[in-house]
Amino acid sequence: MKSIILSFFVILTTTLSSFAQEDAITKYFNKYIDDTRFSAVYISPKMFNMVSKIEIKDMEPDVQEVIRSIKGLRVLHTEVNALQFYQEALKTINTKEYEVLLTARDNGENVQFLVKSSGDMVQELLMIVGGDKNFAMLSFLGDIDLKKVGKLAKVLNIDNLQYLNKIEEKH
Amino acid sequence: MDNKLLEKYWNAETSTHEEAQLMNEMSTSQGSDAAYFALLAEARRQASSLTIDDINAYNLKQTLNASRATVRPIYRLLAIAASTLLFVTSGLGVWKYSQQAAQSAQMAETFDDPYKAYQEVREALAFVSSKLNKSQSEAMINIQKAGEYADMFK
Repeated sequence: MKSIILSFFVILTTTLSSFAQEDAITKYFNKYIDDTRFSAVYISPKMFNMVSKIEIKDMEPDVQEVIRSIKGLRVLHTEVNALQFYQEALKTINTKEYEVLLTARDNGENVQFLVKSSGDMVQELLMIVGGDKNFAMLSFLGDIDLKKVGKLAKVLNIDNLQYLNKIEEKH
Repeated sequence: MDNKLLEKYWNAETSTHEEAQLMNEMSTSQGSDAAYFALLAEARRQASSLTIDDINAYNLKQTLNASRATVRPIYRLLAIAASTLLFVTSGLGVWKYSQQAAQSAQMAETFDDPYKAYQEVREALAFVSSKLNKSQSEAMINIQKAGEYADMFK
């Protein structure tokens, strides 16, 4: 009898904790999405579904494949107090939820790649870039193959360093 | 006490009058026969206060009790546990749904045009891919350096 009652409470606690687990990154995005210091991009699963169906003449097959595997994109960028926001973002991340994939410094900017995975599949790829001038957070949701994402740099002929400036101009 | 009358009673030969007389005598006596007659007198007394409605109600209650399935305490506890879990899960589900609704309301779609969205995704992927490759190269250099430092201490 005791074991049954104990099992019930274990199940109840597990259920409650799984529900109560907070998506810190979503909270972080929501916190700053209306902040005028930030420029933000949100592309929903519905829009990704539409994007994967459109016919673009010059769409590279590798890009198409990666886009089909993505279910959502969130981008947050600011040039104000960049380092402060970078540190705040790092503190916000639930280390139980995300696993650090790579940490590096590139042109004076700190870059962190974090993943939320289940088995072999990466369900979320989170990139946080922070330096004196820029703070950016990009979150890709879906079933992401990191090898395929890594290969895209060769395929996509875009001036990558200007990406954040473009976001700033567009939004 | 009249033993002959008692014997006649056990042989079922007494009249109503004799039986009443015997019961009257037994009410002042003691012993197993007296106990029997005391029980009989009490039963008759109770039976005389019962009405047809009481008997019908009693019979109905007995029938209902007989037809009702016996629930073992363990199953009753499990049922309570399952109900509680269902209730809590449903409540949290509603709460989570309302949170998600609020979240999607806050995060409005940036693009209406899928072509523009595609362009944005393409650029974002290029940016991430580039940083990923650079970070990997950086990590490889650091690993090599660490190897060199480790060799120095050998």
